[in-house]
Amino acid sequence: MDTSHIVKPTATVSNSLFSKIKRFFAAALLADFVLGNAINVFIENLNKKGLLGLGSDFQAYQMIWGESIWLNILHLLILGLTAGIFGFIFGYLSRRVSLSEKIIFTFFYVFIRLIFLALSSVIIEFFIPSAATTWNEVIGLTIYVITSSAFNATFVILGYVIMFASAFYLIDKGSKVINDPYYTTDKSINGTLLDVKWYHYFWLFIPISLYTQILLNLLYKIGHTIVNLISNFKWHTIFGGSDGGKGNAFDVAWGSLFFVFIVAMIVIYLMDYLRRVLSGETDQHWGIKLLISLGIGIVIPFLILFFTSLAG
Amino acid sequence: MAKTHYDIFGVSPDASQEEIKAAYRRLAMKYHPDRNQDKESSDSKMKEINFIYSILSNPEKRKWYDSTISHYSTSEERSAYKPYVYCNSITVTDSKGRTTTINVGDTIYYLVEIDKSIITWKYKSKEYFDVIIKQIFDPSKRDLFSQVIKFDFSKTPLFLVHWGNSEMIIYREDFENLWISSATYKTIDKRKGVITGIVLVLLVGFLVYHFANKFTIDTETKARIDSIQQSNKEIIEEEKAYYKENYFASESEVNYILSKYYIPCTKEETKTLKRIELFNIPDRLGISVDEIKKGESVIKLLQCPSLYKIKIKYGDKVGWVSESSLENSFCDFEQNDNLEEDE
Repeated sequence: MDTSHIVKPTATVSNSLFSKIKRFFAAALLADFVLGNAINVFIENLNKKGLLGLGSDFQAYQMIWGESIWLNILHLLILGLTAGIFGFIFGYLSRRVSLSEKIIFTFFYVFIRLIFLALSSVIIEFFIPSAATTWNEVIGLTIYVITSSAFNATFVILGYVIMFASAFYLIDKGSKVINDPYYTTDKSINGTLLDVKWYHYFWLFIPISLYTQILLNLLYKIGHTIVNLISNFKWHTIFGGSDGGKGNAFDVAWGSLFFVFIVAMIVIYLMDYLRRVLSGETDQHWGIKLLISLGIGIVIPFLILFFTSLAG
Repeated sequence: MAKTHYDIFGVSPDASQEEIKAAYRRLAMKYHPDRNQDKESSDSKMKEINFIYSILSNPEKRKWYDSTISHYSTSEERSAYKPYVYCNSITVTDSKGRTTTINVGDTIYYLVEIDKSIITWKYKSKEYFDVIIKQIFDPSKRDLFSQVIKFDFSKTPLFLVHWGNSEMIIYREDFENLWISSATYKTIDKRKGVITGIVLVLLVGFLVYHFANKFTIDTETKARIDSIQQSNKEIIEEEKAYYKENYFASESEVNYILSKYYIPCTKEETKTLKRIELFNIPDRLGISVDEIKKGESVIKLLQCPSLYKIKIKYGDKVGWVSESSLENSFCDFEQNDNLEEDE
């Protein structure tokens, strides 16, 4: 058996509680505020197109997505995906996570809003006792309104269960990837993700968020084109018969899919190139690196955002 | 370059036992710790010499050893020769007394004590240090190990482990006293995890009980909320029915009307300026549901101002078209007087 390329990380990975907490927040920020937020913005855009039928006052971070069971299932899937991304990144960054730590950190991730709510309640009771009664009533009413509907209560509970299960399961997967003896990325330098130092992510969230929306838009366009094809295709045109119309919807669907596909490919290439530039894999002058980083990371995303509808 | 045992002793492979013994004495005199300043180095060299002599002085062991190098004729070839002394897995007993099969690429653990501090409070905590197994020494080829690596001859090499770019030998004696296998680590981890889970569940149970009592609302308020919710539901149902019947609105479209994203028009007639496709949603990327010829009379039902689209009715066909495809795209907002009175 050839074991010459088995690699164990030479980067020092601290297993202290404080280091784990730092990684917890890094993973939660990346998963929720960058990728999760990109998904939410995309969903809200779809709703504004009239596709989801949730009304104009809909916001994707709501606990319940209307009265439709399918939309709420979609919401559960998105919650599970976001929690899974958190779990994977946390496991990946931590390298080794014990079962106890998995339970504690997943619990904090899933119930962080409720924990803050409980903490606020304690703080208000302690420092502003006069406002405590009103506060408790408001919270009590909110809880009652949610739990009085069996439909809402079921989906809220399912949401928490799926988030917990997904994050818990994928922490293991993340640490397995980084611990794979044959995996070489992020093993030689401290504090990196995909060989890019951690502080770069304070600005990289801009391109990541926007480019994620472009990739999501590609997925949507693929689905849209398939549905359009199935619902409108006239089979007699295969045998040379006249279409007699419907050309516009087809053209729009195919044209749009083709265009977004090309852009998505360019985006993937650009993101990979930016990663290589930031990780020092390319041998360039720092001025060139700065220009490339600004161009790919800031200028192109803003041009796309303001002058195209590629981000959905 | 690895040397054979004969090269190290400076004798030919067909040397007699006397020649080997003489070579051993010569080397022992040279490397004896009492005759050398660097005692550690000479001690290690002596162990190696003793180990080789134990093989070459034993006819049976020597015969087996010779069989592994016999196909190399020249000394250059013998120098480059490195016998393969590894295997892919081994069954061993770790420091917790658990017997497991360990494979190449597995992780093994060692409990270390680490100095830690929180601000000024200093304490010691125990953590598992882990290494990945790069090679497993085949116990049946022990006599050849010295040709591959330098090691402590008083112990039996078990694993060659990887730490970054460096390697480390873990001896069987050390593994059995200090290290644990991945399976044992998982068992210990699971035990701690179950305890943490139980503690967390108890804590959550207590907090839920505490806050459930704190956030309880009285039955009078509950009845009032139920009544408001019921009344709102009735109004909304009535509105929905109205828009569905009069504007051919779907359930989704009603939600947009109620949130004032779509505006109900006064159902004026207008003409199409070109052949147009009807879409199921106001966006251009909706699904085409039908089409209408140029110059046909259509009724304006709803308007989506932010997307510049209008929902029209033509015969029994309904769908969304762009404002520019209609002769008059102005939509007069219709007041729903009956519903306002209800409200």
